[in-house]
Amino acid sequence: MGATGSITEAELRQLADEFYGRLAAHAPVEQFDELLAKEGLVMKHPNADLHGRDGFAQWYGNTIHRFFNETHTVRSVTITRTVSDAECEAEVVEGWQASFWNPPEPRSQRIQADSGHLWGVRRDPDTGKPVIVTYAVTSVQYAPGSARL
Amino acid sequence: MNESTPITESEVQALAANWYAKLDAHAPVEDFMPLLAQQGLEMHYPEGVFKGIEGFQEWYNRVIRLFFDEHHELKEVAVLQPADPANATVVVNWQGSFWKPPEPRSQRIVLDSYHTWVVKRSPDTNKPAILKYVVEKLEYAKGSARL
Repeated sequence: MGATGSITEAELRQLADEFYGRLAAHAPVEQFDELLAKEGLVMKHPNADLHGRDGFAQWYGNTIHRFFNETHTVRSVTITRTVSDAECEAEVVEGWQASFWNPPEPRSQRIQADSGHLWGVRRDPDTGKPVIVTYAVTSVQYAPGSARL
Repeated sequence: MNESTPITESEVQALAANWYAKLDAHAPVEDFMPLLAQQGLEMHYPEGVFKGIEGFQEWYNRVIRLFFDEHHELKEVAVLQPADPANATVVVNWQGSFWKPPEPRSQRIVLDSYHTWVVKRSPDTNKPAILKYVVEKLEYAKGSARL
């Protein structure tokens, strides 16, 4: 068992940095297990609702075959509600850039967007570390000139 | 102008500029037909020899699904002696990206490609068209990805 007590914004920031860092690196999907709840995981993306780690793995497999040259920058992490010592909700804002290409088009396209999320986080009962239980994309704001999803 | 009119360096320059602009744009394969000899075409690339219009189509349909964000810049075109057919040397700087999913990053090729071309007037249009296209050597820039 690791840390106890209320989940702090510093812990959430570390969780967000690790999650988005692994997305940008197209890390092996197994490396996300320690960041995602083993039970009850729900992730709501603009085009898909994902359930459980299997749902995440399916979405992730599609994503890493669609986007490349990704950068994810965590802009802010704010705890919006403390449910208990072991559980909270947080607003996470991240900047995302990524390229995609539709062969045989001559040019790749670049997406640049800031997206807002509402995360539900709780301490993993085994490790004591915060893990993502719910993840909902609440807004996507494209930069001028960005390609669109 | 008739079929025996020698092909000049400026004509080959224009042909090469047209050719590489269409490659950059991934133009429809039909757009290349006026630039290629309809009989006896032979194209030698590092990956193999492609003969005839069908051979070109096979090569082209593969590369436009392999490379993107391409940029060709002509560096040198020389015709040793105006003639029909004419032997030419062509040097082009090529930049192109490729991506192997699910790798996180695309890769960029930057190189100078040295060619010899044989160019012949089309019997239909009387304009120069590529009869033989040989990639003689590739000089990669420092840090370039490799084919």
